[in-house]
Amino acid sequence: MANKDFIIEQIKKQISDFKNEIKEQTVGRVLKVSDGIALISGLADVMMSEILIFKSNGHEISGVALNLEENMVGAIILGEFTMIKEGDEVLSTKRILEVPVGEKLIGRVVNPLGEPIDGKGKIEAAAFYPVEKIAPGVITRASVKDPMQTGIKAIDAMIPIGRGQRELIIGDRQIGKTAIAIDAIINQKGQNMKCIYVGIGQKESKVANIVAKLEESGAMEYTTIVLAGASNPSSLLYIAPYAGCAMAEYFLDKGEDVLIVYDDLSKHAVAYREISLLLRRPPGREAYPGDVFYLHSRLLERACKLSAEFGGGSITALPIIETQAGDVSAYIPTNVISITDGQIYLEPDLFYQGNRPAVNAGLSVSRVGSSAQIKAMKKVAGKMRLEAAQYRELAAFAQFGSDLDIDTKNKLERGKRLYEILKQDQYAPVAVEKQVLLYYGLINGFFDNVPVDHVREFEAGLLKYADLNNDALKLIVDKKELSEEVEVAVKKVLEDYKATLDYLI
Amino acid sequence: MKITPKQYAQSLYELAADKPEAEVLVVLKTFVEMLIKNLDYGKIDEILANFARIYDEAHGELAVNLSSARTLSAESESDIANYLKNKTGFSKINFSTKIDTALIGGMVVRYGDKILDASLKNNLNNLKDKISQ
Repeated sequence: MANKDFIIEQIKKQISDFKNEIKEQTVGRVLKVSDGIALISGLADVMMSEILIFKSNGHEISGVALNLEENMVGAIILGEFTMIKEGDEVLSTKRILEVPVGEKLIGRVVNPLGEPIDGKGKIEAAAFYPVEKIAPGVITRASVKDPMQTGIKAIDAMIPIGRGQRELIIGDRQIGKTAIAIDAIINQKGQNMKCIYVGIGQKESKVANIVAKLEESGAMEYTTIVLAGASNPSSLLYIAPYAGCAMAEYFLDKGEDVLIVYDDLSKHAVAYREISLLLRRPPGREAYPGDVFYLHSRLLERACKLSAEFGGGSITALPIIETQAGDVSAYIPTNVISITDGQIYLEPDLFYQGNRPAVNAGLSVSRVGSSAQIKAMKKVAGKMRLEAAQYRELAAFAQFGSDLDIDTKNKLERGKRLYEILKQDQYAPVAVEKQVLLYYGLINGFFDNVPVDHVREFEAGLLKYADLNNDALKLIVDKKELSEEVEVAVKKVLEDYKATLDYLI
Repeated sequence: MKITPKQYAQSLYELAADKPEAEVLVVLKTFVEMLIKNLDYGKIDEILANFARIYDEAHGELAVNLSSARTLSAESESDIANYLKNKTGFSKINFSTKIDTALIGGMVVRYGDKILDASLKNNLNNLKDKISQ
């Protein structure tokens, strides 16, 4: 126990040890404050994106220099800007904007400056990383080859995502874009993956729900949430994805795999447009500034797969874009589509027909992911994609005529079952070996005599049965390919389970 | 194009500095006429401040704002002047001194964009920050 004297001695010691360095500081004065933007005179040798400290009534508020002009400096204010007055002193710090990073951030909810907002106390940072960083170059990169399993049947089979890939999730409001990202995070349990969810301009209530869901499913053990809420100033919204990426880069540098979700980049572009217009940068198309493409390309380039000599880590990015009335040809969606390695397109029509997740298999692509699928999945997925494409074509065609030959009829029936299998509930990811089992069953006709309205029931039962007699699933996990031995085991599970049923046609 | 106070001050300096007084008067008359024509006479304070700075800079003079808790001796003042001369390379230091008891002790030196805070008040504030951490 520390006694009174000890405490007093310690305080005395600390005070006598305290040495105040007199540092020469560069100061400027606030000329104008408006809407989170300050114009500052002076600060002759300030750097681009340097942290500035606004001193106002004894409060210190930080800001970032964004515009360096001949007579003044334009800065965004990170925080409460109503206290800052004209004529207030502004100090430069000689530090580029940086955020705390480290293992201690895992399981926490932080703002874009790395300060905790979950009420669980202070976070000790392992290091500070700059918010803006040039992406890894060609030499340091390797090609994408490991799968990032989302646990969503429609995606893992037809639009596979690899570790280090950038896959855009695009669609109208309220059709399950965030749900896909959250399911992907939940499915990373035990996959050696750190996850970062960056909420940009999201409702705090929605994020509170997400946190609760992640905690419930045990996903917060490897997840950090960076939140710039709808009520935060746009300066914070603007730096949020870069800050999240800096936190991911800490793990990347340690050779780990990270999944980062940017939810969503359309609000980010809007926040940047606001800042740019207030800083009087000239507006371009849809009033976005000229560098709005660079805004997102420099962010998404930081997602990468490093080669083994450079640690072999990866950052997989899942940016989300919200479209207006399905218009993917608007400015920001086309920009981000061209930057990313593919997109998952969610369609309102499918959503309202009850096909959830409402992934449009025709318009969704993954440009690099198929090399990252495990062999067993590759084998069944190729055939599946073909079946799906044939069904879509025939279904449109078959609406006109009733007389169909037997072959077409069979194709249509199988297609219906396929679309039933692709339906999936939220927060219920399916492991890859189970997906292989399902698809193998489908393309080899094991589903053909299951009535369409019983397919989901059949699927649930089959997976449960396979769990109990898990030789087949284990074989798929171990061998990772469909060798003869594995095929025999898989067939046996399917046949055995079907023998127990009474509703088959 | 709008002309900034800095540009006015720069051109005023180039036209009027190191000229005989009679010539300067002519220049000033046209300068003021131009300000009125351009409706820029509201900027006159800023122009003059910029002009003083440009003039001082060109003549190797540095305007320094020195606030201290107590009146400084001539000796300390010349020490500070020498320090600043070494640091900035200006040959002449023009002090404008001010007594500010709120500083408690020490002094604050300001010149250009720079500030050198060696006051006891700042010192105590830093100590407060450190202890409260």
